[in-house]
Amino acid sequence: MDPKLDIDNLIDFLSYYLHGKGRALKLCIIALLAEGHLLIEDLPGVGKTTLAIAIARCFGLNFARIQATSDLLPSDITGISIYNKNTGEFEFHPGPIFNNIVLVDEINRTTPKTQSALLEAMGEKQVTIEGKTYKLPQPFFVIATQNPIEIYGTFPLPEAQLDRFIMKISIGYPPRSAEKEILKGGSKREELHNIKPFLSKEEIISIQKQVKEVYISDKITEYILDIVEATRKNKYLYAGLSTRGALAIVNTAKANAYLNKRDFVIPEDIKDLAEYVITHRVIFKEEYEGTKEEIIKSLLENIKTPV
Amino acid sequence: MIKLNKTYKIETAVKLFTYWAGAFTFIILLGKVSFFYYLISLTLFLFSLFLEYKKIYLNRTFINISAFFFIILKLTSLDLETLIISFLEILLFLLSLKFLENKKFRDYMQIYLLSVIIFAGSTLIFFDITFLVYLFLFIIILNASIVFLTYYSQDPEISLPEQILIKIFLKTGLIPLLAIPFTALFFIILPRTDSPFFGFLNKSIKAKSGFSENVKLGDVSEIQEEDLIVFRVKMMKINEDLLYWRGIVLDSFDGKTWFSSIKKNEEKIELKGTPILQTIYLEAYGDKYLFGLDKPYKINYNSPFQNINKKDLTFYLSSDITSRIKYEVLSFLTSSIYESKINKDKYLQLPQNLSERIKNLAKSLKGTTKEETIKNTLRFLKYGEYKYSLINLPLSSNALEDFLFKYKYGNCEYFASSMAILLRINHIPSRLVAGYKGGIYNEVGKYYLIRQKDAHVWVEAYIENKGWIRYDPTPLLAIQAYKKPKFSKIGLLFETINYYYINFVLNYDLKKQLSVVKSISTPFKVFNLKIILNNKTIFLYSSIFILSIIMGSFFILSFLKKLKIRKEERLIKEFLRILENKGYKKNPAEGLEEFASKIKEENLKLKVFNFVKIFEEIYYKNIPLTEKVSKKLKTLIKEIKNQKI
Repeated sequence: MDPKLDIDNLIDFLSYYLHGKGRALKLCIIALLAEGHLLIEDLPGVGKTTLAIAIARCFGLNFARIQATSDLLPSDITGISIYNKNTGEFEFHPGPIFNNIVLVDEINRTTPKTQSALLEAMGEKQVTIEGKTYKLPQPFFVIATQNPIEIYGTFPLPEAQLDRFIMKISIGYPPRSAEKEILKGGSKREELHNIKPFLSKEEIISIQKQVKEVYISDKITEYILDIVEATRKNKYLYAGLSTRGALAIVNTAKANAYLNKRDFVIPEDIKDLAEYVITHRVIFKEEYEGTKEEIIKSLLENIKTPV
Repeated sequence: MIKLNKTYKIETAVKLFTYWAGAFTFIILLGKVSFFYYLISLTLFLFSLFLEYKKIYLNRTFINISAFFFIILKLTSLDLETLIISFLEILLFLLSLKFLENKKFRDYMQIYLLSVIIFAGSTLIFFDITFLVYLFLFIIILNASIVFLTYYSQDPEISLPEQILIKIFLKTGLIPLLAIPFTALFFIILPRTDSPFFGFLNKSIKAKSGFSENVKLGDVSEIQEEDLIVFRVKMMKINEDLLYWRGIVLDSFDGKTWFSSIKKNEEKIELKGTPILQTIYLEAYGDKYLFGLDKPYKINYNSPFQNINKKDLTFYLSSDITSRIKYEVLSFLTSSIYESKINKDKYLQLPQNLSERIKNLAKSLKGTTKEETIKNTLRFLKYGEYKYSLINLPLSSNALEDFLFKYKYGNCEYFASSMAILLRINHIPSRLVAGYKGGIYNEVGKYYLIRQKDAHVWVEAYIENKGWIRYDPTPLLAIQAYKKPKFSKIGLLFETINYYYINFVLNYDLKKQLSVVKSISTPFKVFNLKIILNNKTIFLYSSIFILSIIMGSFFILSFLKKLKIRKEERLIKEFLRILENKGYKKNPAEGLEEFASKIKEENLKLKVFNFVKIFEEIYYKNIPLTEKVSKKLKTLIKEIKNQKI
């Protein structure tokens, strides 16, 4: 197959702006191609916004940023109808959500009411305001971030809503060499706004379609079901993967296969992403909260691949 | 000047020898199986040669299905009488089909197996010494092709110069040559399995009951009963009194031993009586005489090596019988043989030192007519004071006299000798006939079983205008008491199975038999068919047949599919095994690429990735494994195997 998106080339190019964030960038693109949404759980100041801008820019997409606070209202996100004196009618002013890429910063700071409004929009890909339904633009991709350290005064997302994010990742500190570069050259965020798009919006949509057509054999489906079953039976977990979770595995695996220039899924596509797809969807017993990734990894290590 | 040698691909050598092996199976079965099947198979075989030349191969599935249908078709018309022929026909057809395929290692092996089975099977219908020649050549060729195939299985692409190929052929040809001495040993041992190995080397000193060329008196005091089976006779059950199995006629007596002195007698003898046909399976009992129900008129024995000699209505081969044989006998149930002219002097000859007591005894038995004399003598011996015994026999140089006047007991030899001598003294020509009497009838197999202990001697006396008439002077009841059948039910069952086995192996003259059987059973068959057709069962049978064909093809298809999947799994297993030998063991939870990326050696890694990429595409995209890809993967595996770390 001949994929339109050469991920290695793209990452190479962007690494100039995003020092040492290749992995996060790739995961981000996978989430985009799988038509899901991404949750980044990380400390402030590691480059979440830069990442979101980079994605938006290189695919020629609109970008908006919402800083979530406790007084943020749903209408601040979705938009509001304002009375126009000249026409004498209410005029709809679309909110920031009517963009292709929406960065919701510190989503856990806002109230559950606003959170659910946002998440509903993410799920339905449309918003209903005052009885009128507005379609969200295509592609629609939400990158939400949350701060894992500051718990006080936040509203942690309930598991049911976490499930709506196809993956949860963390960027992590950049490596020393990358950080040195940043310190020497300063932030390159401004320059990002001027880069030329790699692909057009239409091309992204057609790639998303192609990703859906990636072949997944029965053997792989069985393998995924094995994983799902293992999470449900695991002694460290209260609750295993939902069916939506299993679907998320399939979709991300397909996107991963596509990025690896394959039109069929292999077990590695799944294993690669398992910790990002599974961890936030299962409920750990309290005593094991601290070792989530380890548990998921060891779980995967005990499931036989088809060959 | 350097002489350039022509090089050949090893595959060519394998093909050449395989076709030769195939050709030999056709040669060996020439004229042995039905012409129709032979022609079809031969055509296919020649056609495969043509295809091989053109490098066209038929689809395996098609071949397998047609083979399946052929076997079904053949099985429906299978006749128990022609079992071997039918199987050989099936095998030959399968062999010719096998040649049509694009041959892989296993196909070659299958061809060899089929041809070996055909050769083995043909030993049951081939009784010519030329078979040995064919067998020898076949083994040499088979051996060479297997050797070449071993090279081929290592690397199909090997090419060798002509000289090397010839060298390999000649050197490996020694293997079967070395095996010949051992084979010869088995050849000697195997046909004698019924008797102990090398039993012929040490003959038992103790006399055992049984048939012998001569009748000797006074040499042994005790005769052991022997249960050893001598022959089986397939025939209808008849009156027990008529069961005399004629073996040899003894005309001369020297006072101690009866022997046969007459040269071959060509005179035509006419017999009157009920004709009765028997099929006899004679064991290798150690002598050359062929037995038949008294009076045997004609013996039908297809022997490639031996002629049947005939005299006085006894038949014998020119040398001892060393393996189990089968022959047919036509006998006439009569107690007399009419001969107008006999050599009276011969049959009146008496031993020189015959005592006066015997002569006086003979005179006392003389009646007014010859018939009366015979009657008196018979009554005197058979119903007189003489008793039958196998132990404490007169052990003397004058055994006959001792038996008649002193001991008054003995076995049939004494009774018969006495009667013949007494008659000869009274100028009645007489002689001894040795053979067997009685036998156990196996109701299941419909045959008589005759054992060594049934050996018997009786008398034939000549009366003018009547010919030779059989008289048995041995007390009847005594014999019966002695020779009660001692077969348990299980013993009888085993004996029956044994009989059928012998029958099966020896029934080589199937064509002839079949025609006989068919002519008898045809009316029954037609009758049966009518019954079946009259009912609506024809619909039932045909639907069962169609259903079984459909189910069979489904089964075959699913089996073939499984076979394909298994092929992929075999490949990956082989691949993983080789890497494990190189120190890379795949964790069951690892993906293939994940596993491959762990390999440190760049060259190896490259090849492993190469394999993994191709394999994954087939395996995870569910693409059927084609021959081409399979071949490519196999080459990669081989490269990985040969990659030095």
